[in-house]
Amino acid sequence: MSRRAIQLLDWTGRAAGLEDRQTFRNWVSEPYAVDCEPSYKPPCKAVQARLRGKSSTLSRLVMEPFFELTERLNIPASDVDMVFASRFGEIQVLETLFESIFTKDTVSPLDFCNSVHHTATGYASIASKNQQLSRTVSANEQTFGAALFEAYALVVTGKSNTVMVLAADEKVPELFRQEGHCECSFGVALAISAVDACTAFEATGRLRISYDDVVQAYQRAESPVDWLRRCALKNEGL
Amino acid sequence: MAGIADFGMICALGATASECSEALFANILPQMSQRETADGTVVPVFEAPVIPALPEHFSVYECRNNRLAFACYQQVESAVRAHAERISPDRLGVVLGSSTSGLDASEFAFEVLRQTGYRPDTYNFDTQHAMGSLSQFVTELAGAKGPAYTVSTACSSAAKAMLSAKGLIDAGICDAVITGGVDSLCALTVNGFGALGQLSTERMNPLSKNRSGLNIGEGGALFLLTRDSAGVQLLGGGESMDAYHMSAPQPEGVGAELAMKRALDDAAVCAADVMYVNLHGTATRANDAMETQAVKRLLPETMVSSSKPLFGHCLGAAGAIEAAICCISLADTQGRLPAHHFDGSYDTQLPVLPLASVKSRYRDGTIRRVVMSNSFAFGGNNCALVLGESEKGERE
Repeated sequence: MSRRAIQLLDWTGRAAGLEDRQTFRNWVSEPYAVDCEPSYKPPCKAVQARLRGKSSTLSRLVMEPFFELTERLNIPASDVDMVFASRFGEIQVLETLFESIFTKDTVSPLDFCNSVHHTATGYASIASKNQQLSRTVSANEQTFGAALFEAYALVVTGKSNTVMVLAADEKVPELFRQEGHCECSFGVALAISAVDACTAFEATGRLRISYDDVVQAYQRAESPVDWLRRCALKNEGL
Repeated sequence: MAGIADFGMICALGATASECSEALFANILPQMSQRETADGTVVPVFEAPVIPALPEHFSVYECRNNRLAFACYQQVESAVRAHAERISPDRLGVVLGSSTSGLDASEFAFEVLRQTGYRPDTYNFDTQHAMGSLSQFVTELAGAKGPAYTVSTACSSAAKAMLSAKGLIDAGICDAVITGGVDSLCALTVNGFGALGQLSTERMNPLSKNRSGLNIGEGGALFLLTRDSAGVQLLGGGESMDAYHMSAPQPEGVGAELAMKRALDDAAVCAADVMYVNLHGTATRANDAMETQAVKRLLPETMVSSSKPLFGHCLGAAGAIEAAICCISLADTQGRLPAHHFDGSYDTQLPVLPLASVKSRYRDGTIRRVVMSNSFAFGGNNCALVLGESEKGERE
């Protein structure tokens, strides 16, 4: 069956020790050992101080690349749709809540609000005054590939003009930890949109994403970094 | 538009869709059980009835949430198998919603760890608690090979999962998708909503001047969504974000109204076509105030009810269970609407809406029944589904 392609407009990310766009992109290109301190909190200067103070660490890991990318692309942050890809969600907040509940302390209402899986896009929507659609995707190690399916469906059906795929996870606390779980907190943003007949990929530095690229991301259970390394870096403009 | 080939459900109303249908129209208010919060407050909750055990070879998925999912899957299994024979396994997807997934398994592991210093040997985060475990479990039950994932946006999870599932069909990625949602009672949600002061100590009382909050429930509903255009259809849906507050809805219901408007557009129906709205209707002061305003502006003449007093607020599964309630009504040969259950003391501070009663029916001469189901969540995450008969379909 002939499948429509979509395009990656641009991407960026953050992680501990990889705290600006170029450093992160260089690391994706040529990875090296980084200190995965879970306490890394991006500054999120684009977010109002009061909101920033309430938001979870994972939310900051989402908002920092989200605002950077919308600004770079000159797209109003209020206009994009969001697909949040997270395998573990607010796993650090959850551990804090368990401590509160099972040691009979008072449960913090803020911690509870911040424990829902999509907390990050909730804060991102408030910070950007975004009233568009926002979905989440979670599928164990296939989470990022599933998010690409979701973004693909939104774009090719014409539901979305621009989808921001926001992939983020935190270092998994010991209670929940298994082999293969996230060791390093990270946040990645990818701006995806439809392709039309006039799209000039080489001239614009954009990347054509075929349906097979999406299927392979899912079937190979690629992380966003794996996928970016395989797909995006073949185009030097990106 | 995507056809609902079959659906199964479990909640306090009953262990199957047929039991739920009988109880719904018999207007039976199920008994509630009780849970104690960390601060010692006792609150009523709605537990699902008999939950089946998992087959032994699925024991790695053992948790309350997956057992509820299994109860729903058993009801749609024959339809899934019949459909799967006609399509390639990679064209069968699974998209489910949940806010809890198998949190109870991690809660148990935490308690054991705290008391003994060791995690239980049987604990497995990936297959019991991870959000993805729910869709992975149902994928294995069904032998599906298409995209499988879980949507988690708190109380709108299942409704949004159904729109994601429809998107996979519309985009040509899948020919059929098992969708819906499941949520289970656990300490985290009871304590969390308790901390927010949103739990009622009595049966929830939506739209009443005496309303004092919600009761948490559990359950699920699974649908087999296909390209078939006969029978009850998921006609479309609309989504929005309030962009207002993490746990409080925008007070005038602007975001809710936006989702409902987008749902009408997506389903290609007009406001006058919608004959019934299943309200989010949580009986909190804030939800009922904003939702009635939104409905009054968009669908002022449409019959409404909240079915949550029958099975509680099932959080991440609410959108699916209430869509199933809509399907039961849409297919009902007597044309009965789900009645609104409360103490009869309508809050005069709220805009007046026509409440569905036990005598309410679809309008005489109705050619095509169309209904809406609302789900609103933390983070201002709103979703409205439009369900109805296909234009060409004939009622049984």
